[in-house]
Amino acid sequence: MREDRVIGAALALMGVGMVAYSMTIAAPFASSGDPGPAVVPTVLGVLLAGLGLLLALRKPVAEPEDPEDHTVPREDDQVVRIAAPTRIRQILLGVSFVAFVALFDILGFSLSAILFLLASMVLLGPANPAYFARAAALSVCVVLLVGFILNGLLDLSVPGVWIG
Amino acid sequence: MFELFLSSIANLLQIHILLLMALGVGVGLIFGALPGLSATMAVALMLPLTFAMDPNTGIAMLVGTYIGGVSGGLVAATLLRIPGTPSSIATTFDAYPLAQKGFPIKALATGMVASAVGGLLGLIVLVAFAPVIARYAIRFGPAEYTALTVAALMLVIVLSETDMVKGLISAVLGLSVATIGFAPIGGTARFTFGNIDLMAGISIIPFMVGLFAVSQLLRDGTSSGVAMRGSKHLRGAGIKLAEFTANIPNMLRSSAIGIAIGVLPGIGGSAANLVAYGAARSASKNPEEFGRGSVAGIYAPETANNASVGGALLPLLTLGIPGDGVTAIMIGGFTIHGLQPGPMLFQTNPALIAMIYAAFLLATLMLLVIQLGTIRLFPRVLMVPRHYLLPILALLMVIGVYVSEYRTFDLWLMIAFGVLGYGMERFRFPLGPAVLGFVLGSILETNFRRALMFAGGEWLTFVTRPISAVLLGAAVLFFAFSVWGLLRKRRTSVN
Repeated sequence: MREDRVIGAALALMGVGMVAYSMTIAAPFASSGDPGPAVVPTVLGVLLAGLGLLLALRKPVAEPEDPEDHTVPREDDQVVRIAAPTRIRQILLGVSFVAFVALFDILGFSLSAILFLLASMVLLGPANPAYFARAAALSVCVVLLVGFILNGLLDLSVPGVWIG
Repeated sequence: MFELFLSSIANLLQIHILLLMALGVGVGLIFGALPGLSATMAVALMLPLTFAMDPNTGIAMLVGTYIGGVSGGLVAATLLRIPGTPSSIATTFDAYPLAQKGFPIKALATGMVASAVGGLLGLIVLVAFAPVIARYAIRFGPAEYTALTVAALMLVIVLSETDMVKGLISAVLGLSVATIGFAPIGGTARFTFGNIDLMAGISIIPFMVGLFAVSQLLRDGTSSGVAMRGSKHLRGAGIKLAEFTANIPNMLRSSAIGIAIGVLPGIGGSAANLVAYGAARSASKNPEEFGRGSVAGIYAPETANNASVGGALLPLLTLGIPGDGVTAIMIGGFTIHGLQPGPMLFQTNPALIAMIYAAFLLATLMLLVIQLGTIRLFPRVLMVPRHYLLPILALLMVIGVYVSEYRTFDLWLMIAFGVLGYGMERFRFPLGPAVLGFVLGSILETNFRRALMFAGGEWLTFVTRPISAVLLGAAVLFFAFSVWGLLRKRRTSVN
């Protein structure tokens, strides 16, 4: 596989970088017999470089095929297939998740979580006003409940919790 | 001891004690199910509640919480591929695929029964061999720990599925991540690049949640998926007697692994479940079924992680040594209730020891009853529409990781490991070896360096000490046989 060659080369470079970095690790309190803090990272760097090279240079390995699985349920069974969101929605979902983490310290738990839940539910669900209203109500309820459990019941100290 | 044990069971069979134990088991289950909330936090939360109770009731409640906390990871690992605790990481490998095929009840019930069997086997060993095993455990020095972790790391080959090179790379990546931060001896900062947040190192929660749960969310959010039909009834318990009996050797082996690893302070259930899974796969006649919903792949980790509880209680009771955070808090709880764990405990207070054993037995049975009694509720999670379920899961992951250390930086690490896990799975790098490498990384380095310091830099210490030599020999043999088997298989397939 071409990807394996690229990944293998990148890992080999990373391994070399690890070894080079490990050589700069100081051992100010090295005592008798202690190999020091650089030895394990150095060994791991060498291993990573070696394995990366092996991955990059080896003959392509045939992808294993999934054997026929008789345990997969029939059409009328309990599972239902769901279509994937569109590419733009996938990107926006990722952005909303990263934004949630970024805003967690700034806005506090409750506000950032409500915004995240609302945005992601809207992005994943059907586009109609009734659903938007349900998503908004559910977002607020879930965040208030989780906040109350965390700070009110479990006595944790999550910042920006409205009730608890 | 046996008579004391029976009388302790009779003492604990009072309605108020049973209800409080059930509360402990329930709280433990909830904490275990949510990533970030752990058995340690559950026991810490319940501890103040036991102050006013008599010792029997208080300790019974703590034991129930502990056992519930260890077992709670099963549900989220099975239904959502989110390991609530490190003890349930390997459970995701087969329980989740089985649930996705439409058999969540079977996957859950198998895990629940395996947990009970593991707990009971751990208890039997605890009752029968506590002083003997404690003496064996105390003989484990740094050289033996190093050899044991090397032997456990050899299971990477088994966890590597079909591509050993990728499995080894995955393990090296896990080991490398474990080196980030202050070195375990001497405190030299490594791979921190001046970042203060990285100096404390990377804890297992963001690593585990990112690698498994966030990557799963990324996959679910970017691909077509499956969900349960709400209109259909969930059928049967799904456990076949033939499957159970066929897995008895698997459970015995996994229990032995869980107890042996649990006995050793500092390793615990997080490694036991992975090692047991690897051993089960290695011993299986159909290893290709592992990772695709194999029942044996559920029996092994769930038996091992509960058996490790019995193992962890051994050094705690006999030597007063806590193996991990949760047993350290348990020691605090025992002390508050007038029990001083240590070598003299069996002479000075055998009645309380017997009471702990009895509480362990009742809590394990109670756990099974509670889990089986509520088993049909859990799969309904899969019937929640994806547009509601995924955002709420993401929220719980974020808050779980945050409260584990109260560091926003851990959230960024979680995302980074999520992307890494997604990429690794996409390009067929197995995740199991990475987690095993991460869990064992700091244990390996600490003991490796300590062993050399004790031996004055003499590397032969690893082969001149008998236990260490046997473990290293077994590791080398296992590695050699695995490589030989792989080469032979490849040659056969080429021909």
